[in-house]
Amino acid sequence: MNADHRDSNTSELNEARLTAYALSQLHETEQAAVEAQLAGLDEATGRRVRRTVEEIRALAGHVREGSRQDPGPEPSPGLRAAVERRLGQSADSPAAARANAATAWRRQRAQRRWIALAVAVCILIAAAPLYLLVDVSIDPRTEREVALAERQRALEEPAGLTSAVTSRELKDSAEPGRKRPPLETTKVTGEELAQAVVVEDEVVEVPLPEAVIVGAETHQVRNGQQIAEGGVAAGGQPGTGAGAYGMGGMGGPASPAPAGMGMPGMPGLVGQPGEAPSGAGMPGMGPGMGSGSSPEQGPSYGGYPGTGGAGYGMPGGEGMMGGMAGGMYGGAPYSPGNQSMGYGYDEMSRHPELPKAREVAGQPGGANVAFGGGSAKLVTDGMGSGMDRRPMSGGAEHAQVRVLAEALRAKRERLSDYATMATGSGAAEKDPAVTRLRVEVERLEEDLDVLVKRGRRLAAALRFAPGSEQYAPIVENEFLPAASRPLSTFSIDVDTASYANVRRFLNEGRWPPPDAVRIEEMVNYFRYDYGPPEDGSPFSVHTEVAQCPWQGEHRLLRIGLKGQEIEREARGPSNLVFLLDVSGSMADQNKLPLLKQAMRLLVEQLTEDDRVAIVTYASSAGLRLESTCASDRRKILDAIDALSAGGSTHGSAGIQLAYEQAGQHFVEGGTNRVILATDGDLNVGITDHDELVKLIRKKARSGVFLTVLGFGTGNLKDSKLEKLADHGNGLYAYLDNLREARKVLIEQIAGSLVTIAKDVKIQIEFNPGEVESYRLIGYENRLLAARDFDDDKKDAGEIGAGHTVTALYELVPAEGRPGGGDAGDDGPMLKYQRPAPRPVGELTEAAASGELLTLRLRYKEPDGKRSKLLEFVAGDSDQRFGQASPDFQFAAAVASFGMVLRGSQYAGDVTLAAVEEFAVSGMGNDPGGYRAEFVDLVRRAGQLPERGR
Amino acid sequence: MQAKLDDRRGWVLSVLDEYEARLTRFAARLLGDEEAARDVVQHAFLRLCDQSPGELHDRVAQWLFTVCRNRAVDVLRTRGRTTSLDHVDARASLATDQDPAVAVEREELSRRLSALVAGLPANQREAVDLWAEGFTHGQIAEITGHSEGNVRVLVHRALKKLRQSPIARQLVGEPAESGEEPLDHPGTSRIRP
Repeated sequence: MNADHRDSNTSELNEARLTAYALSQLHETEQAAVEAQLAGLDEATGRRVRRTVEEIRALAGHVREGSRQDPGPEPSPGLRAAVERRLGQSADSPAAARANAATAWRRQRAQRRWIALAVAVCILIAAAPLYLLVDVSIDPRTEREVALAERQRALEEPAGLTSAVTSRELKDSAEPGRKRPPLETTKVTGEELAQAVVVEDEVVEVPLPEAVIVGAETHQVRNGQQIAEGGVAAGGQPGTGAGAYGMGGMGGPASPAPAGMGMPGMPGLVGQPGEAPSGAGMPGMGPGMGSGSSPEQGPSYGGYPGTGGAGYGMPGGEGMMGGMAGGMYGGAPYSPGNQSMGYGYDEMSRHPELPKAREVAGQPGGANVAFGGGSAKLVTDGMGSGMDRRPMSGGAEHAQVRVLAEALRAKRERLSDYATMATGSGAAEKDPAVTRLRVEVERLEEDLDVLVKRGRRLAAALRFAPGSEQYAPIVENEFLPAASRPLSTFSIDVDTASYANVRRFLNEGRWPPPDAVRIEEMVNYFRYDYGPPEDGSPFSVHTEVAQCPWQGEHRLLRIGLKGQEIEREARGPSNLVFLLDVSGSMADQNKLPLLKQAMRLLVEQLTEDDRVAIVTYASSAGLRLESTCASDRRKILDAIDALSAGGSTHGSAGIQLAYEQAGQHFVEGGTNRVILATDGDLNVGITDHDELVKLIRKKARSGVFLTVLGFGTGNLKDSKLEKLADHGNGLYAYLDNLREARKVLIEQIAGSLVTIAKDVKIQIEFNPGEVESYRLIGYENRLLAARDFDDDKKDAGEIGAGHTVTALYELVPAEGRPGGGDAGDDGPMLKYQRPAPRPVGELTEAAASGELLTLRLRYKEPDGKRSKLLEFVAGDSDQRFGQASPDFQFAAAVASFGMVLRGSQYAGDVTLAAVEEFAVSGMGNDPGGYRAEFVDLVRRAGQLPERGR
Repeated sequence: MQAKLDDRRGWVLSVLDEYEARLTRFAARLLGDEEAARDVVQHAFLRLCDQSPGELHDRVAQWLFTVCRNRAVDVLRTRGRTTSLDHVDARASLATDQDPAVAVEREELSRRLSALVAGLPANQREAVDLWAEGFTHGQIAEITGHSEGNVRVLVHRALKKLRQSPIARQLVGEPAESGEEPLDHPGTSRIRP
């Protein structure tokens, strides 16, 4: 246990206590303790602290007042009548009272209104109670029955614990129509399940000598030792012997029905076959699974419980329509249970007899493991069965967990059998099998330990990275006068990520933030049918000009580059399996998003002989994409798009699963590779380093190599990663930018990208005789100074074989003579104007040529140092928009959509309906259906409520 | 028998009058949706009809909020992910709200404070809302299923975050910088007298 953690835990617990004190929420003893402590402070400090207390009080008062002033929504008009009907009385309702209430409400409402923000899941935060197994011989059945009876009793007493109410609620709202897949490991029937809150297999373990809340902020306990300061729950006898994980939320002997108790999953809230994969919160130890859901298809919630209790409920699922990725919080709906902070309850006051140094956390037995949401805290059927309950949507995702969980369960069972047989005889103690089991169980405990730490880290990461999606502001290029600013210079850009991001937002029913909309990336997402170069140069350049669809009197210029198609070297097919760390820390822009970008580019380059599979580990674990032929590009891209980081690093069977995928589709004579991408969390399923190495070496011998990609800087364990890659006959690369990622992924790993030119820059000189002003659409972050064009030291974008790049300009045609202006620093010799200091704006003969512009292009050979220059001229054939090529129309549609999404001042009067029209007429040949999808997206945007200011 | 029924009827209706608006408000904050909030509240009161006044006696408020919350959670759950993403927005907006210029413009302070509360992480906000409704930490713990210590921390974090906002500064005076130091180390406290 790290001292820093302890300090900050202690510190926050202390602060929290002070806050509670300020709010008069402390129990007597504790309050007295705080007061004593305050009294003991020196004068100045005491004043300060008291001042703080006052501030907290004052602020809390404001908050309370503010909250109460908010009238909330108008109560429902029919409720009283409904209630009266329910009460079985004819309704001679005191209508007056009702009217009064309504009036009062309106009055209040008029005064003020709250901003109602939707709520959602926040975090999880691990709470991992750890139960130590005691050797006992209790008939499981009996034990369960006892527990059931307990439960039943609680149900009978609504005035009892909250959880009683809760369970009723749950039962009440369970949808009877849905069927729960059979449970594998428990004999409990569905009905029992629906009632039993905490019962089932785990109970057999006689949980908890010590229930401990191990949380993001709290502490952990191992092998019966309480390590933490801040919170360790007391409750019961100290554990003896090896432990197993008990059931989450199970109370200690002292209090069998604590608040954090689990509820069985609601029947019917389990994911339905065929749904988008639901997110799954990874549990601490295979235990409490979070939940996921896919809103489009109805509830798919299934709180998976666990035995190890607790876990990070960080749902990391996707599950949005179309498998779109969501924010970093993953797929759980509101599940406050996940939020249990793992905070212990400071029980000093209740247990003064406990060693003073140790603040005791956890209500007696009240490990607050609240998984899966307020009402259903935990599902506590056997863990294996818990996993198995979602065969379709969850199976793959839970595979990692399942392995670990099942191993644990099996061991516990065996241990328990031994214990049963040998109770009292002492034989069990001497039995080597028992000893071995104990060792194994201990090792699993250590895993839990690691997980808990990760959960803590995650919690910290979440706290400090709220929102997670931040976009650099984009200031759109403005119209520049062709006379005074004739040169427009930019670097090509082959990124397309913005489109996928925009699509995600729209599919989620939200407007993308304007700054998430990069128009050039949207335009470049689509392939355009530009002819290949014929003259031996590495790319062809195509220009087309037509009426600008959103400003009828303007012209739209499209520039298209097409990289030369190069015969790829004969290479064997690639069989790639990505093993991705999707823990919360991978959410940084320079980690998973970067990798995703590079993977997209990679996919573009693969041929139908190649295969890609994606396995994730960490919060949302499992097989994300089974090995898929690269001809099914769409499926692969969707899977990539759907990846999101978030959640604790847990991952168990990750690496085995990855190797399994690689093995199943092994290609003789090809590249068979598992590509592990991580920022340092290596909990891929085998925690023993030596064993991991052994596996990697064995697989490398069989022909499946391991490549390791390191990301970020935080907790990256470079040397360790490198060593793993060494053992796997693979490459280790550290990726910090797209170029590097592309290089590594595509050139080195797949060996498929043929970069045909690098540092590709475009400079356009507009002819002021024809163009009054121009505006480059998009490429805001790719602009270069005019003088950089000829400067070979200035980097620019690369273009690969077969790539297309498109840029659009909106042009205002010249009317008569252009006005004069300052040529500024535009150094190079101009074609259409006399160079300064001559009267600027004086035109050359070329200006009368009717040429619209001259396009110059510089590039370097892939290994060249000096750039080469290509030059093209373009004219305007006075096409109307409708006469333009379908590609032109489609690109214009994408650009105008981007402008609408950005709320661009240049969007003119373009509407979504118009965008759709452009797109439809530009549909052309649409292999892969990308353009059709775009049209669908535009429609979707049309259905969204008006965007706020 | 009839008398008993009348008792119950009167009891339920009085509870209804007393709590309906509060519950609706609470549910609406949880759900971000007034219609759904009303449904949830209706559900809670219909359930209340089956309870006996004697058993609930003074715990009725707590019971109602618990039922209401559980139902709301179910609704959110079925509604799924969209909501959780909204939450991301909420967090993001909190971050920007900390700059009063960018935030809710020209509103009176307490209203801004309300907006800040609305932007808190869901669990913190819920704890604060319930506290504002007059529940003690212990009761909040029962309603939400968190431990009391957990509630304590949630409320603390919420208030701490709020205190750090410029709005709170204007409301209660002193800036709170990065929060008070733990009591254990009073010497290093940054809070000025």
